[in-house]
Amino acid sequence: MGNSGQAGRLCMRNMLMLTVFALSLIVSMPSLAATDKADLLVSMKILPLLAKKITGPTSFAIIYNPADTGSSEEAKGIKAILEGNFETPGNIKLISVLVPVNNLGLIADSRMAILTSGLKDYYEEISKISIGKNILTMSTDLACVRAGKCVIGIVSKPMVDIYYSKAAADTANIVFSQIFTLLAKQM
Amino acid sequence: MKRYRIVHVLAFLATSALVMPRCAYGQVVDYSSFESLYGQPITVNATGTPQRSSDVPANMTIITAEEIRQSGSRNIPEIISRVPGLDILRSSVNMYDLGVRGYQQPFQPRLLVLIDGRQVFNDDYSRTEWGNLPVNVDDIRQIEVIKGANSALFGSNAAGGVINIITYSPLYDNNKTANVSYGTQNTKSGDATFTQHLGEWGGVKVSAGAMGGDNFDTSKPPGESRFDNKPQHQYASSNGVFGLNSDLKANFEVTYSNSKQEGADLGYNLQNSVDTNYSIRGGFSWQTPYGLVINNNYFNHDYELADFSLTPHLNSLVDLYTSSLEDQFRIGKENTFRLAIEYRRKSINQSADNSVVQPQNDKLDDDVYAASATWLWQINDKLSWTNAARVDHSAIHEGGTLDPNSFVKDYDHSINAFSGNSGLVYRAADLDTFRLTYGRGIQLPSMIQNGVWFATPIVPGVVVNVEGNPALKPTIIDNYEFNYERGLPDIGSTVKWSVYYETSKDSISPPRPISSSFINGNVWLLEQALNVGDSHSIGSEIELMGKSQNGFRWDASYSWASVSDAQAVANTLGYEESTPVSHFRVLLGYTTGPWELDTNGQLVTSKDMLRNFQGTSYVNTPTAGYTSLSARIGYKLTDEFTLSLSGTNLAQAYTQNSPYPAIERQVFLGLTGHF
Repeated sequence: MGNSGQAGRLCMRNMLMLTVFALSLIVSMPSLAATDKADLLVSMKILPLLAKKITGPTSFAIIYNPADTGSSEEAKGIKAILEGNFETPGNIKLISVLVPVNNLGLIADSRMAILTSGLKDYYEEISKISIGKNILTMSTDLACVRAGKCVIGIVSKPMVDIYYSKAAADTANIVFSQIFTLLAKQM
Repeated sequence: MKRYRIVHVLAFLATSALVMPRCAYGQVVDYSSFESLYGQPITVNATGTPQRSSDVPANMTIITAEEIRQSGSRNIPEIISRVPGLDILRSSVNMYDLGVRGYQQPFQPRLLVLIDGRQVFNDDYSRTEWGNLPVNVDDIRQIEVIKGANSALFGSNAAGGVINIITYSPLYDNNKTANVSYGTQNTKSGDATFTQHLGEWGGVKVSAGAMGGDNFDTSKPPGESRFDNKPQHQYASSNGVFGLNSDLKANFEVTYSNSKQEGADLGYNLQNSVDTNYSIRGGFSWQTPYGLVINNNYFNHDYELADFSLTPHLNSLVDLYTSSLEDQFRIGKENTFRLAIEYRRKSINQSADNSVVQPQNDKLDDDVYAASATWLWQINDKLSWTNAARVDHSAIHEGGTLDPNSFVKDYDHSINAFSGNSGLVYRAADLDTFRLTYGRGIQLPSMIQNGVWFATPIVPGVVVNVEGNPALKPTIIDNYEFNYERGLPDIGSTVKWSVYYETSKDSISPPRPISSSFINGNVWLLEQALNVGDSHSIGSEIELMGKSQNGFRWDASYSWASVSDAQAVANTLGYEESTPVSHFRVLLGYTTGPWELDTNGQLVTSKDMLRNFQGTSYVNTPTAGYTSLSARIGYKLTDEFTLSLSGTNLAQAYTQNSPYPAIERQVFLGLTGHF
């Protein structure tokens, strides 16, 4: 009786662990994907929700890893999209700038930046520079936001979700409308 | 430490009994940017936090401006009746009531109606004058339809549901539109809205419109042909939003509306009425280090001259002053709170400008103090749990003098009511959302039911004496609901399914004969509203809606409802019999080039509704099931102008959808400009 009770408890515990594991898979965060046009469109729609409006010609940094072919290709793709027939809010005119991660000084005049894939090891470095220059950093890699190194995380498919690091925003002195900060999921 | 802080917040909520959010944002929210960002309509009104309708802890449908335009209708109840579970009771050209999941009755008291967060629900008889709303249909950004008890989230009287009409913002939108239309019943209407931005810091909007025409020519029962007010409506409104600095926005609004109509009244008779309303409103939203603070103040004045079956020329003056203050803030990453306090003063004064009704000097004042709190806990990326609670303390005073013959000698009394909502929303996968909700809603007795007195001699020697009943308890509605929503991207659709169970405790009847007595040689029949017992309902709704890349759109739904009344409820309110068991809706639309074609077909099964003929005999009147067909053809003449031909009840010349006179087919030709 005692053994069967113990076996029962063990079985229950295994079942519980299995359930927790299954649930954790279900509720796991969306994974990193290369930035595409849908993500960029979403990133533009965040701009009107900044407390300090961006207007006119605006430098938009595309930060990539030159040592990573995927990252380089992604950056070129982003630049092509932005320089194509790309809709921007208000009278913002984007000037896209490719910024290799080994030359982050090129980011200096940018108001915002998007991070390609392949930059995981450089988040700290990018963050240090972008925060100092009050640059709005955006990424489709939510790990960057979760680590407080990017301000905004973008998920555009199948539904739009915006993630937001209050710590990163506060440090970079980037202020959004308060209603936006209630809507965006804080990480 | 974090846990300690949360416990403190919870304790604060509990001890201060704060609970009660309202849609206080008004027009200071940039809906356009949020809608553009998320690719679908956003609401800020359920929890105070901006949310997609699928994330709201309540059963909410958002009808968009595009859907409103495609409906072809300029009557808001007709537009709303596309939502499964909403049943329309139309008793004339411009007299409507909407029942949520059954519970149909004239002067619907269970549905709270708001425009930009301002209550247009009238506290006199607890009803909404749908034909007298000060809003241009072309200026509506979205209509939020919330089913179920939501008093803690939206305010008292959100007992069975809420309709929140959101218009375009004068600050964030630039709506400039005009419409003229002409149609059957000699109906002529014109509406216009003009928005002027004042740089980047403010904007002002003005809307105005008018409608007039003839009645339906359907026959009326003997003795009711005098109820023949030709439908009319005029309105004007203006509002503005100003950014005083980057953190502080102030808003104002003034409205005026006037209407004339005939149709069903509280006692299930026909009536004539003329209504004149105006409102003044002001408030602010302020981003502070302690959260988003919102203040909302408004004054509604409603005047009605009603010609009831038994009570000719009864004047009702109703004033409502409301002031609320709320703070919305986040604690940590997962917890969002909204705390609010609200004061409302309602007063009613009735008089009769004829020699039949004994003129009185009674005046009822009702001071309502409410507090509420909402806590939205984003447990993880997929799961959120919202809890809300609200306390209302209503102190009612007789402000005038009562006739010595009044049966009730003292109307002073108070009512305390507690409402609550709890909702778990689980987005199991990107396309699947489950929602489990509970709501406890409060339907407060109307001002008339609470304590107004008037006596009318109906025949020589007999006086009907209608008095308020200070012993009335509020009706408590408990709603339990489960929803499932799934996106079906392969066919561009979404399917929604809901199942619910609802109980209504202490339903309040219209004034009914209680007793009789002899006074000065006359028989006085005392009529009062009473708590007549409980009612239960169970039901389900399923809806498939979507659109394709090649211009087709569809929305097909089926709703089933079964209501069970206690005997006294059946006799006096008749909810069980008046609820159609089944309601099918099929909306189909197609856009190609400059052309738009939309149809809306509905099939409603039979029902029996109480009907009162000349104020004395309540009859349960069968109404056969019916079909209705509405359609619109629109043609875009230029970038600015669209010509449309639309019609309602097209399937037959007359549609008998209630015990009231049949509804006639209507067709309109309209020209709309957007500038």
